[in-house]
Amino acid sequence: MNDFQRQMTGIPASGKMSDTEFDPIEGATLLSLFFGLGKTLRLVGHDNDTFKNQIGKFWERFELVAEGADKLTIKIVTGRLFINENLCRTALKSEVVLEAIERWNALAIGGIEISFQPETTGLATLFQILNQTSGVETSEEIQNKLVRADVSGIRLLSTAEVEEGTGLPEEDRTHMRRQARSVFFQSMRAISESTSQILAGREGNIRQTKQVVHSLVDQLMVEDSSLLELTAIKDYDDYTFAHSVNVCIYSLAIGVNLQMDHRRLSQLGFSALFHDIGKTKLPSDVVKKPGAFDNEDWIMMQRHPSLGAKMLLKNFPISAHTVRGALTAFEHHINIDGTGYPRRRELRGLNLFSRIVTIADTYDALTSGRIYIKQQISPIEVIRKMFYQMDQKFDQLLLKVFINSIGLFPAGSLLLLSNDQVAIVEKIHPDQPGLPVVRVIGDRTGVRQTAKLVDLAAAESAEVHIKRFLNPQTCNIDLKYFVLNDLPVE
Amino acid sequence: MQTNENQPTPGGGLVRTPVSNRTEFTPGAGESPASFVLETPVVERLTQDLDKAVKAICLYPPANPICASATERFAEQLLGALILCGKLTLGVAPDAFTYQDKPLKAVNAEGTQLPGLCYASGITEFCFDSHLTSEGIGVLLGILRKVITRAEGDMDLSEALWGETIPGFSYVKLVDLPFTDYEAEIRSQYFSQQNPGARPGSLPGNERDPDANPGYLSGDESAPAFAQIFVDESFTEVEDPNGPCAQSFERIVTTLSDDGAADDAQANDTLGDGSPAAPAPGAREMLQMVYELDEDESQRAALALARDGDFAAADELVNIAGDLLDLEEHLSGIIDVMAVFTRAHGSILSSGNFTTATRLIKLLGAVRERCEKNYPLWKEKISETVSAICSRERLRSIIDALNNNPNVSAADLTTYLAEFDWKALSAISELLGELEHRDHRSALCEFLAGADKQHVDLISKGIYDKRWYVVRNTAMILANNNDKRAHKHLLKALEHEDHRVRLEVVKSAASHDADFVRQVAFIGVRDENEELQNMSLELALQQSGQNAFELFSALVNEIGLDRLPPNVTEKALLGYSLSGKDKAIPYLVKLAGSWGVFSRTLQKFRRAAIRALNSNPSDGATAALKKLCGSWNNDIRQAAREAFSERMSKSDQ
Repeated sequence: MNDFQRQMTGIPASGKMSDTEFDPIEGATLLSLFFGLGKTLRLVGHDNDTFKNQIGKFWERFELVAEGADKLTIKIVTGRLFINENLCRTALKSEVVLEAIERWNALAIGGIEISFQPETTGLATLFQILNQTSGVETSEEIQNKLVRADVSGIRLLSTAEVEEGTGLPEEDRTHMRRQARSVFFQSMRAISESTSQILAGREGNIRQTKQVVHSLVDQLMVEDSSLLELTAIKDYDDYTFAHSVNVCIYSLAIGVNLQMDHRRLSQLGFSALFHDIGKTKLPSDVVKKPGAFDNEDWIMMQRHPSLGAKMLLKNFPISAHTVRGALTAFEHHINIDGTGYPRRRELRGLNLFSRIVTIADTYDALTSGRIYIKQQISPIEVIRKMFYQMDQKFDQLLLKVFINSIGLFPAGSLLLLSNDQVAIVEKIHPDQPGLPVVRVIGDRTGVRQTAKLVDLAAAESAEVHIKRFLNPQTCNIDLKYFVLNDLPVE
Repeated sequence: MQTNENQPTPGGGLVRTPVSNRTEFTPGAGESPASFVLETPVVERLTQDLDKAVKAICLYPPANPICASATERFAEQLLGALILCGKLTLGVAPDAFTYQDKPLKAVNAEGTQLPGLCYASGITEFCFDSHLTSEGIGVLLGILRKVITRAEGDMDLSEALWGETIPGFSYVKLVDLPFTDYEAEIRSQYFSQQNPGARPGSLPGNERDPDANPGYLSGDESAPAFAQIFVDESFTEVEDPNGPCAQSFERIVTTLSDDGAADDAQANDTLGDGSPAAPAPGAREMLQMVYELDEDESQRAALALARDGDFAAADELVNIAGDLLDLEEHLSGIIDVMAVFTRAHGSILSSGNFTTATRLIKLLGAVRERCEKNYPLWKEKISETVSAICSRERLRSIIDALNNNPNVSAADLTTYLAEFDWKALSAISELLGELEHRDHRSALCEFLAGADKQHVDLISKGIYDKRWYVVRNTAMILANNNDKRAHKHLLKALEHEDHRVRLEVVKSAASHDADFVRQVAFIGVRDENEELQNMSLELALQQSGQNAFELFSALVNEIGLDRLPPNVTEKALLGYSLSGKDKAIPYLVKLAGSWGVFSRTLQKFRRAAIRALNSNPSDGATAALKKLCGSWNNDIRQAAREAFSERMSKSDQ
């Protein structure tokens, strides 16, 4: 960019990114425009006005997103898109972008560095080369072609180059985690307040509840690991509300994975948040009974779905949210084969939300070891039980989507690695579910003062594998200390 | 997508939280100039244009030119303004938009109440900037339309905007719950200070002081708790006898990183049957199988999602209410469920869904029948609920539902009303004065007319209503009811000061017995309203031969011609002549030939009597006219000759 252009656009000469907050919407638009160039070029050719206009728009958006910088990086890290270091999940809704990701993965291109140069030739050449390239060429070979074609200001990054590290710089990760915690506990507070209001005979605050659900959805869409990690904490003084929020998060994760629209996600989150509200009407000594339930306890417990449905219909303004919520509260213990409780006069198919919440509820109940089976079970064993032993109870397809959403080693799980290191799962790779990114917190010498991020999918970790899950309770490890605090990362 | 800027607020309370794709306009950084500040009248006109555009798209179909022109005008004005100023921020107060903290005038008092709508959903500010496009404006207006017309139920504006991407548009909303400073608050709220699961002091705050950290952070190798990790077997997978599949999967967990076939073969030995089993799938294949959705599964997932899109909240509400009712075992529970039914009914009705509301009441009816023998108290409660639904106190909800939903069909309305027993008739008849749409009114009248005749008295209350149209409709219903008990109410209506009520009674009296018709006609012909007089005579004429003649005879003889209004007299004589034929002739001849001092009052009817004779088709009438042509009285003779000549010429034709 020359001085004249800078003066006209107001971009500082330093080219450094400003501190202004990244806008994911603008980012998504930029990505759609960028990846759309390839498709447009295939259809109309590089001399066509449509293509030229699209390039013009791309540069306009570039300036906006770069916020004064003259260089911008687009990365694809384990199926996620980043602009510089900012995650841009919304872009994944675009088919053009998804197609391009697939193509770039096949070519082992992990990203691209683009300098601001508002003209058409460079990008046109890039996409011409990409469109003509067969699957066997590497990103380096393509880069060489670009150099030979005199294209400057564009540098392709290989997958390996991009996937070094974990995609998110520590600052952003800390910010995400803080935000996730804030949203999580805000949700706990919202459901606790609404429940108190309802128990006092007043109307629940549906607006507040929707707000927290929307925040949860927004958070899940931007970065899900930080929220999922919080669901691993099971030792709250009163687990009731934490359980509701956990179930809400798991259900929303399924909903997001199923690509539900926002409206349905809002209803699903609301339904999941209040699925167990009926329990608040039962004597707490039964609900929180430390030992196994006797017959009378079971009879009482079996009333909570209908109590919940009634509470929702009586204490919230009747809307699609409340009807969905009531139906989910009523059905969440009815199994897919019609068994379970409460028993209906006539068998009807279960509502999609109920089937989702049933899975999320069972998973959280079993992993917490507080309900039904009074013993904490590792996530993977829970999944195994749900998949093979309880297969008549759940919608197997949704269960798969659920496993797909949280992974076999869900974020927040405490693991013992084959090298005797103790680690907490930080996040899963969508394409390598068995090899998550973990935060090593200790080894045989004891717990570390600082955490170390290890990507088990990375080449240097090839020798390390997961030995087994650890039970934080029996190992006397205070998991919440590590989840709720941001230990410095090496 | 909205992104909430989470600001810890130590003080709590309401905070203003920027939401959505907000783009701060930086002078010089974008392509739009920013120094220009719009004047208040310009912004005022913009909001008025917005108001008009919203009104238009809510009232007219999108293809309508009014709609298109209002939208275009607003878009043109707003985009033009944004070219000048770069960014426009509008505040939202409960009753007006504000600009630079001053309220803007609305287009008129009956605007769309857009500010109120925004404010109610928690929105306090709208921002438009130069990235806004006309497509974006279209999307925004579409959302406003959806919310105002309740196209998607009771969604509020901020909920509708959530998740939408409109470049160049953002909004700010109030957040009921501040994002808490979890570091300080959460621990005390959700965790014991001494966590039973961990050693004392294991809940430090954010401090990084190693002394304050729990023992296992100290790096002390001998710390017994940490050493426990390496001997902890609580999560070690236990062999499960539930079949090879489960065991294979279990092995994946423990040998996740081992792909070797040898390991798999070894694992097969643990299946327990001692026989050489087929090799278990490799760990990664198995993982893949569990983890990934194949094409068929992806399609099924999409199908499940699509099916869920058809979720009919109202129908499901009825289903769940029915389920709850089925499960109840105690009277207290029934009372609770009845409260649910009442709320459900109100909600379903407010959306104008009379079909589902009918289903809900039918459901109650079915359960009530089942309770007939063994649960009389339950039955009573259910009956009370149904009665309450259509009671005078709740009538407003039915009225609003019908007035707000003109598309409710007559059939749906009458089917719904039919679900209530006779006790509701009194309340239902009150609807007569409240319904705004003609189709609903006529459906209601039809329904009430067909209602049980035993309860005429309940419906007839409307006759004594102050509103003329209620009386008229009630009269119509009672008249159509065709029951003798309605007669006294109808005769009362015939005294109503508004002629439209009286007309209705006369108009609909024809199907009643002769005695009633006679009473109505007697009153009607003497009414001051000419239309009503004529209609009463018509009514008399519509009677069968003998009845008609008797009625006209009575009119002529009992009331007396001189007591009838002058314009009615001729028609009365005409009716008398037509209905009586030969029997009418003597009186008409007498009337036509009347002269002298003693019959002076009758003389003014001579010509009318002659014309009535002329209209009588009988031969006797011809003979009578002929005779009158020879009358010595000039006036009689002339009138009779004219009539006779006219009669002859007609017969020649």
